[in-house]
Amino acid sequence: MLELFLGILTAMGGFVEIGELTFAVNAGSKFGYGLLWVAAVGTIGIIVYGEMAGRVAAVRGQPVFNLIRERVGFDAGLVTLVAAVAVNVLTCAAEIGAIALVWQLFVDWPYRAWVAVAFVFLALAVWVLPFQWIERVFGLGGLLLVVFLAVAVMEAPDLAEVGAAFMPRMPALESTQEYLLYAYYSVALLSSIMLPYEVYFYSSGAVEDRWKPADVRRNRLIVVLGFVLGSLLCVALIIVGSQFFGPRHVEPQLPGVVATSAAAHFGVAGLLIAIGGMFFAFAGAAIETALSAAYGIAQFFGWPWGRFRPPREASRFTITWLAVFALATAVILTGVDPVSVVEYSIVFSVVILPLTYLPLLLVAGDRRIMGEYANGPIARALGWLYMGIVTVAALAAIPLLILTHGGQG
Amino acid sequence: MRWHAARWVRWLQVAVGLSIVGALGFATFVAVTGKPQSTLYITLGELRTRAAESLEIARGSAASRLTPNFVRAQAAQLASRIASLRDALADAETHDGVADARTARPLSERLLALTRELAERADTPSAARPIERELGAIVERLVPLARSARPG
Repeated sequence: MLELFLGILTAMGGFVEIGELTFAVNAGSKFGYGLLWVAAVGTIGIIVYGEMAGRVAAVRGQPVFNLIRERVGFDAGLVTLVAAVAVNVLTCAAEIGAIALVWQLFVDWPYRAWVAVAFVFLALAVWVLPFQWIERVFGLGGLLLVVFLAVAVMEAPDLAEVGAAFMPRMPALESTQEYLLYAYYSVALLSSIMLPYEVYFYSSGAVEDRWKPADVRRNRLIVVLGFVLGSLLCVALIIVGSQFFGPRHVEPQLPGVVATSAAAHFGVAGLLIAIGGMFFAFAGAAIETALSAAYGIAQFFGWPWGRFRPPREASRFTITWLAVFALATAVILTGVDPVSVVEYSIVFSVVILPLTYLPLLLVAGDRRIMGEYANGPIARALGWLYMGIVTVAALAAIPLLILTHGGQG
Repeated sequence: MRWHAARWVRWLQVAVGLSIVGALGFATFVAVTGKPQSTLYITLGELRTRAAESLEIARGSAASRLTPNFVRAQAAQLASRIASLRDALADAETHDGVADARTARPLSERLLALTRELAERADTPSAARPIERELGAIVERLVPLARSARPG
């Protein structure tokens, strides 16, 4: 029972990362509650595919990239792998940059010095901590972001209006450019909630934790409760954007600016809790993306992998996640703005979503492989519905990025 | 099923690739053949939000609800972004939206000076009050300017 409870809390605390923080608050500031429905659509989507990934891992002991190689073949699978690793490195770079920005708010060292410290810290954390501790320390620490739920409540939003905004609708905007920007934010917010690394990490984690078919029910509870509670944080961030930042003409890009909303209501304590929560959330996401890239490569090429193995037994896997941290750090040390990296990592993430999810959907629905644990009618219908949604989003993502000048307008 | 999965994933890869190539082609075609579209409204919108963010920091500092180091570091992070926007406005003065850029440029200079002053005097909350007032005035001037520059 305690394991289940901790699993739900870590899923909730690990839900938000720099991309979701930025896009959710900005979506609220630009469009009010107009994109709350996207948060609901994205949450159901990540529940559907997260549950499938956990179930397949529990029943077959196979994580996502193992399935991709097996079902799609080497050539097509390799294209997906390369795209997924590139996106993971970009996302990891964005998280490392965001960690440095957050640490600067506590101790005013040069930004690049903090980036280097972040690299050492993250590498040590993964090297030293057992897998379950990595999940728990950063997942539970990320729960400090609950302060934004309190801020959202303190802002006294119109609950009837909030409730109505969960129904998909097209708002009345002033120009074609505004509609394009609204579409861009819809795709980006959906992507930030359904980030593919979450599914890679979750399914690999299930194998690391040696889940068995008996864990299928536990998997369902963790995914549904953890992700629904996590999405409450996303909803709270949209409300904070709409109620606090919108009227002040602020469309925040820097994490520290987002934290000022907590300070406005709860003073220095609120500020420190918000910044602390951001640190744990970003560090957790950096670790998950680096490990996800290493999981993907090791699973695809059939190398021994997993944090449950000593580094010597899984040497290529260990070198890979260290290399991902190093590469991501190098990207940020070039001086590129981490906020820009966030935008590109989120948009490119949605492009690989259907390539990742299709093999998973086909395997999870196959009775010859999954037996009694194969997708039922609801999972099958939702799975195909979301395959259609993420495919449309993937096709629209890059054109929207270009037409909106990188999401700026 | 393996054959189906491979074929469908290949189709998806081709479709996504075509959407990227098509979007890049369209953007190149417009850039080569069309009238260059001004993006000054983006710069002005960003300048407005950076000014409003500096105002929030000044407000929080004056009310002692932000720590001095937070104010110092956050104002410095904002200042580097404001400096980039000021440079972009200087470039815009010679290209497009001359009138708006000329109006906004001195505002960006003052905004940068105030944000740097906020960082330098982070240990003295009372020093943030006059900065807050002046930043408020800059935000009030930038809001209509950024709005009127938007296309449509």
